[in-house]
Amino acid sequence: MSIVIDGVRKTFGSVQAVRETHLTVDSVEFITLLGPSGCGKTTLLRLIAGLELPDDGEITLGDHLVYSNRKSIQIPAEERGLGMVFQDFALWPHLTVFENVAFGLRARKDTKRLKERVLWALDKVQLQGFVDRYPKQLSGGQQQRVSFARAIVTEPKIILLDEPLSALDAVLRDGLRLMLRTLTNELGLTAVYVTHDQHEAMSISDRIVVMRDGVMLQNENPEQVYNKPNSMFVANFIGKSNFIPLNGLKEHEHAMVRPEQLKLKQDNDDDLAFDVLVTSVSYLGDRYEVILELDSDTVWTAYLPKRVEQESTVTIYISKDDIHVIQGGSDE
Amino acid sequence: MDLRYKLIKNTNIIIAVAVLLVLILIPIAMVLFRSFLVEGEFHIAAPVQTIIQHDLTEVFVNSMRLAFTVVVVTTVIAAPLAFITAKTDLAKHRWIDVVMLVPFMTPPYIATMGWILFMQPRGIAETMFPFFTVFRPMFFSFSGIVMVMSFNLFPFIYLVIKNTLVEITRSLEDAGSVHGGGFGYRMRRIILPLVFSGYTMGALLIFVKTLAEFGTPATLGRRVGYYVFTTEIYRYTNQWPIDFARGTALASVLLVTCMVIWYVQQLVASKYAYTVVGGRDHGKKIYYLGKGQIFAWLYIAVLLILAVGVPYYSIITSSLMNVWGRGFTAGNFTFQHYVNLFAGGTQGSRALWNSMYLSFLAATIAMMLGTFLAVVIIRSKGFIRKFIDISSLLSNTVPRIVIIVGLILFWNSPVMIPVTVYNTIWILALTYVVAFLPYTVQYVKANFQQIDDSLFHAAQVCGAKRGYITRRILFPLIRPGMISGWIMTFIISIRELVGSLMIRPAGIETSATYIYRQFDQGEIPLGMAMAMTTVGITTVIMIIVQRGRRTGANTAN
Repeated sequence: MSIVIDGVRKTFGSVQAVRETHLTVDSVEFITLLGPSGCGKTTLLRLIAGLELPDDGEITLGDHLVYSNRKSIQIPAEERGLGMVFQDFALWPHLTVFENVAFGLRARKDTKRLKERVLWALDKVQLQGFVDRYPKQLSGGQQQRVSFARAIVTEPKIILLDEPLSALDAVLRDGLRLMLRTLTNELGLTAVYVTHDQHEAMSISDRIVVMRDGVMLQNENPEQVYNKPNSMFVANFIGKSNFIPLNGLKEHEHAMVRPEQLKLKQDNDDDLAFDVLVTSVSYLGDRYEVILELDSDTVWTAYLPKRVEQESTVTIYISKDDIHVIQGGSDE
Repeated sequence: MDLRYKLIKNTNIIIAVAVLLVLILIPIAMVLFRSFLVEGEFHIAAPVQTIIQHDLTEVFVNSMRLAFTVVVVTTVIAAPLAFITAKTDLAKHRWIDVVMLVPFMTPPYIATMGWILFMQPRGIAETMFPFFTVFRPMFFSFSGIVMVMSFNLFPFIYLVIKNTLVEITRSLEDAGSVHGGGFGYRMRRIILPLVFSGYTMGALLIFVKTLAEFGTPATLGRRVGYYVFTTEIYRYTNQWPIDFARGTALASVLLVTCMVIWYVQQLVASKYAYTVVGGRDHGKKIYYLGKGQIFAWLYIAVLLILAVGVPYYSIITSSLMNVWGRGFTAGNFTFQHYVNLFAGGTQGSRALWNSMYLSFLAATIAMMLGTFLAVVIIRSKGFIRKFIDISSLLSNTVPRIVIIVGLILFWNSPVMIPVTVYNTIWILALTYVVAFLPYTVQYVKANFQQIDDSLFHAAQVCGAKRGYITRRILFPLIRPGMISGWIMTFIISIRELVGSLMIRPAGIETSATYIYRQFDQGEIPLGMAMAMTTVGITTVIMIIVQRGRRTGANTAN
């Protein structure tokens, strides 16, 4: 089921949480809203859920218009038929795992084959044996899996995920992320995922929407967002960026390369070459993270396959194809 | 914010405000207003005039002097105990805290009666521990009132000091000693400043509680001619010759005094409150007493004997005596007084039954009303929220006797005649509801505040409508608060003395008024049997609830 957000705005008092936004999510697409805290990503998600009301615009889920300021349509959250996973899990402490999952079915009086369907959902998240436990008897990862089972038991077409992994340990996070992605594919869900973690966003998404101050800055697939950031903010927010002093750059143009694109060997004849000072070397296991100084204003980060001497001068090669020129002020 | 679920319907807010106006705000306003009227005209200085003209300054001075002395004495009693149980090797004995709650949970009038029975001529001490009679002149004086009230109230300030002490983590003190501070220096520069704000709040609360207390002054104070606000308000409003104007003037002065103290407390609290930010180490520094333990234990023992032992010993033996004053001998022992209470048909059993069902009714109404108000408070915002919040907790801030005077003025006023419950037994239940409403409001509010919004949002996204969310999510989650509110209201309604005494219709007795009257001029053993019965019933209820909660806690929440 697709999601169409058309001209939606939301302010809280004097704060513009979401500025006029147009966004389309295709059916079965996995899209991530990425940005620092306060960028409006969670608000946008809650607007889709119906937990907040926009000031203006229209929201369409599939062929259902669920909000329209112009036509005075406001379908409340409980009638939008979505699944949602919350950051703090939001499991009801007084209900067992079974009843937590069954809640949506009971609330909609859709109790045919109730037990079978609840067990199906718990089976999907590998928690079959936990039906009689209370939430506090589960680990954080298990709680979040229950919360996911609760979101899919009603077989929604759209699932909203509000930083579902951020309350969990790093070890649990990777496993659960894979599970989320596999299950959304398998169930044919359209997913909107909110996170402030760029690695999570890049590894899980079909498409990333980078937001700042209530504005969508870039809306492309992960590779494009990483390799061709369209603003200084995106370049700096996602991955590490090195800026090179190139001749022929216009004002407000910046030439960027990523750390792994700095090389110790020359591959092509027209590669650019720079002599730089090695100021620090950190071994990361699979590579060396090296801080290089071209001059006092220009400091680069490079990922190199072998160790270089600290305080030595090395020659760094950059392929012209790797250089990406960004338009925009340097403060962005 | 989502308008439909976050906020509450306006009709609910209007109902809440209306209920509060009728039950609490208008009665209190009437006390204030009445005291400014002199022969039908409004005078701003009228209450002060009344006080001066009618030579009530003595009452004012007496009250303040008593409250101040009680604060000093409770502090002297409580501070060493708090240090012992918070910071020394005796800290592991948690049961001390539980035992220290016994005097606090004992109605002051009952504890005072116990002491009077112990000390008075031909009393328990004279027949059993003659040595104590040398203290008789001291007891039947100001110092006796202070002692009895202090033993009743010290657990409160003890818990306040102890809780702040416990929060001072080991690292705060260790940092002090590593940087060269000795024990005395650490006490003065670290512990005392951190305890200060908590202590002042506790101290001011004790001050107000003493000012507002009726039981001890009414039983012991009147006997020795020490009159305070509460006893004088009671006298002018209930005993011949009745002078209601003077009574309300006194009530309004008491009200204003308490309000000023609360205001000071708010100032102090906001200025000197520190949040002791604990790091990972939540351990506390333990001072090992070694041989000194014996003194600590001795201290606790003496305290318990005086605060619990003496009053309960007197009450229990008195309740088992055939004829009071003949000593506790084999021939003078009987259970007849208890049998009498449960026999039915007797005055005592009627009083007990009255108290039981009025308290049951009051607890049930207070639980429903309090829960409603708490939900309205949490779900509304801005000024209206603050207004409802403060108003519904007003009965905790305003001295009970002032509220009672207000209720009499309001429900006995000509406007209310067609609908009034005054002069019927139901006015008692209404009084208990008004007086003890804050408990449910506070418990449910605290309960509700711990529930994260996402629990409701999750239910909403799952397709649940408002009513369904209330029934399946909200209600089960605030149920513990509602039950606590019910129990608390029930227990203290059964024991409530001043409200019952002042507002009951002629001929109606509750357990508290029965105890009071039997003690005053009736059969002491009968009154004491009633005292033990009400204390017993309420204790049993509390134990059952605690048990139930502990087993319940293993499954849900």
